[in-house]
Amino acid sequence: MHTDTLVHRSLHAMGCRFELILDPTDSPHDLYCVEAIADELVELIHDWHDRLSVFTPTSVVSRVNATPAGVPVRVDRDLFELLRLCDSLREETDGAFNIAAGTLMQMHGFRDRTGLENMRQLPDLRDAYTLNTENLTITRNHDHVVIDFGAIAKGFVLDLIADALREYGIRHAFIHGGSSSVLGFGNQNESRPWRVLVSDTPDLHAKLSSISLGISEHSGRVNADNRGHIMDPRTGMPAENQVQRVVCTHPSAAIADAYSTALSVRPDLIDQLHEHGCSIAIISSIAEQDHACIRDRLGVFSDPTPSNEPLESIESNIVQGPLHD
Amino acid sequence: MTDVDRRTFLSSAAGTVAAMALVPNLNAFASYSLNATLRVGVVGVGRQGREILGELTKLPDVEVTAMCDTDARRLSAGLRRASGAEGFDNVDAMLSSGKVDAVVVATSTHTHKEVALKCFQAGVHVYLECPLAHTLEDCIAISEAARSAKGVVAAGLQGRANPVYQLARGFYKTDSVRDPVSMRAQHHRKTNWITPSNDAARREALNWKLDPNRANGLAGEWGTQQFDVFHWYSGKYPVKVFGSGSVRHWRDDRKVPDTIACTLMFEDGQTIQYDATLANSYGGTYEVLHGSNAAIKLGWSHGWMFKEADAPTQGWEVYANRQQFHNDEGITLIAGATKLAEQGKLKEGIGLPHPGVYYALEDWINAIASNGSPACSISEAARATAVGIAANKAVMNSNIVDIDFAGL
Repeated sequence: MHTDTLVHRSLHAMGCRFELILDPTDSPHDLYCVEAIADELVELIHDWHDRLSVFTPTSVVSRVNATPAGVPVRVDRDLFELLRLCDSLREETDGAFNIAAGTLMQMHGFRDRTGLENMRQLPDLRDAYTLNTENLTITRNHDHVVIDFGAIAKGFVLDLIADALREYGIRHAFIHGGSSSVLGFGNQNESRPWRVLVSDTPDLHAKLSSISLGISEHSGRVNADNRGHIMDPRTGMPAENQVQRVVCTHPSAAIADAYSTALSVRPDLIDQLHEHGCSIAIISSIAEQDHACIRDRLGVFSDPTPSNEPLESIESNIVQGPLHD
Repeated sequence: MTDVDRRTFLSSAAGTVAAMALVPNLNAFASYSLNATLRVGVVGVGRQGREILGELTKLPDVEVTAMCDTDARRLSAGLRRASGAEGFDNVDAMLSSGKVDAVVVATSTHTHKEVALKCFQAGVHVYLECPLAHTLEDCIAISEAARSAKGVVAAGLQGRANPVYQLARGFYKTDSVRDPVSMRAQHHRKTNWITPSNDAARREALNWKLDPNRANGLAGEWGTQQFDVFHWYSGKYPVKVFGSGSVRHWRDDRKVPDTIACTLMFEDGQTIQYDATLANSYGGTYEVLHGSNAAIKLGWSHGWMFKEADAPTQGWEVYANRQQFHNDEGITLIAGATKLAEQGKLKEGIGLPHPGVYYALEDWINAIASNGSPACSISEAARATAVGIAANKAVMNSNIVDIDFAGL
């Protein structure tokens, strides 16, 4: 990798800053063409922002949310596939990940609260919407249901970007959205993976080689009552546990994003989700001390500070190698 | 002011109210009523075509039932954006399928004539992207054929259907701006205009904008849209154009300048100063019309008026929303602001909620529903295209070119 030939782009979308680094090395394209590919990826991010944002009144999602309950809304094939993925992730995570959690964001003061006054009006989020695979429609089952792709949108776009990079024959790239959804495509340099500091207390790095990483953090946004923005769709309340941060790596960035959100709500899913081909680190604060609980099926984590008392006494099998290969 | 209006007045931003009071002849939110769902086909589903697909799905009583592209990958990507649509690899098959009442032509400029003439012949309603063509001969052929078309034919000069531009034109025609002084526009965007592809033949086909034999460079592709704003506002067309251009940044052996400047001259001595570049994005895309009382700046989704210190006060400015631009204060021009505010659709408080192409498509469908005339006719688009062609010729030869409207 020659840093002077890397192609950089940055943009603001989906409520955060995206940064893209494309390495033309070993690709079939000249530098100008890789610049054009980078521009195409920027447009792709903007396009999906415009389609998925709940804050854009003309987005497809806003159209779905504005359509009365019981009335099916036909969507395009790309969006329907995302909806189906979300539905299967909801089932996999036992409801801990649910795109209908947007309802709770509204109820708990992270959105305009119009129309939803109290918990008694809260619909059952396990049955918040219905998908029709034949007609490619989504139907909200209750007028108070708010569909929100905020917990998966960035990862979904990173997956589309990975597809585009593969199609164009780009072998190495690093892309992140808000530093919480990260795609390490190929390697940083020959066989040396991209490295990301995912936690400073304890000190934990992830080595990404054609893999994605999702981070979910409790200490992010809070509402007027100082409660976190990660919602538990099962209880209808902000998630309450000692989890500070969840780091999840998976070949799919969308799944990494969704799993990290689900584990923030239900850290006890760590073994179950670990079986689905991902590495997981859960950073918890217990008795004012940070602990890392790690499942590293993919061997991506390195250099942790050993925890005194891992969450639920889960044994760490982290790779204890040096940072520099 | 009715009670309802007063409540709106009290609950809305001041600028919103000012604009509400200043929406003469605003046609942007006209609702149309179609007897049946309008079945639309889109020819050409590259970048622009896919944006059009997205906007068509927002319009009521419109269904994209077919699309056509000679490039299999683009067709596949387009079909993913319109569930239920059938794909075709040639326009004849699409037109004879009986699946479309109306067609949007969004192919590359040099193929417009072939596709448009087939659509006119088939008797469907047609929306034709602009510039109309890459040569005057094609422009004339499209104009002549459009005269005998059975359906409603609209040209995609988007400024004419844009609610902000319609609103601002009302000011331009009144004492708010007064004596027209000069006009200026720019298109700045950092992008190299390359459409990437792994396949050499496909790359050659897709990169028509970089071929001087198939396209008219920045002046033709972007200038045509922007020049037409001035034509429409002033009611006149320039007669000469001086141009120059060079490659300032993208030194990939391209034959098309990435940076150009033009001066378009009218009979009465007024001018349009135009510059465009693919090497810098500062300022983006906008048009400015200077008058002795005020200047109007138009930025496609946004518009502002900058009043001179000696301009008479008209009263409504007191309530207007304002934005500071260095030493100047702009009064925001918000089309249909009250209605948009009620719907929560004011983008950042002052911009249009949809891109320009949405309003152009909506206007076309409105014309179909009412059997009326679209905001931009083919003959107006043909003249604007002729200006763009002449401007590009001037840029490529660094000289002055007479603008030829013969046959248009």
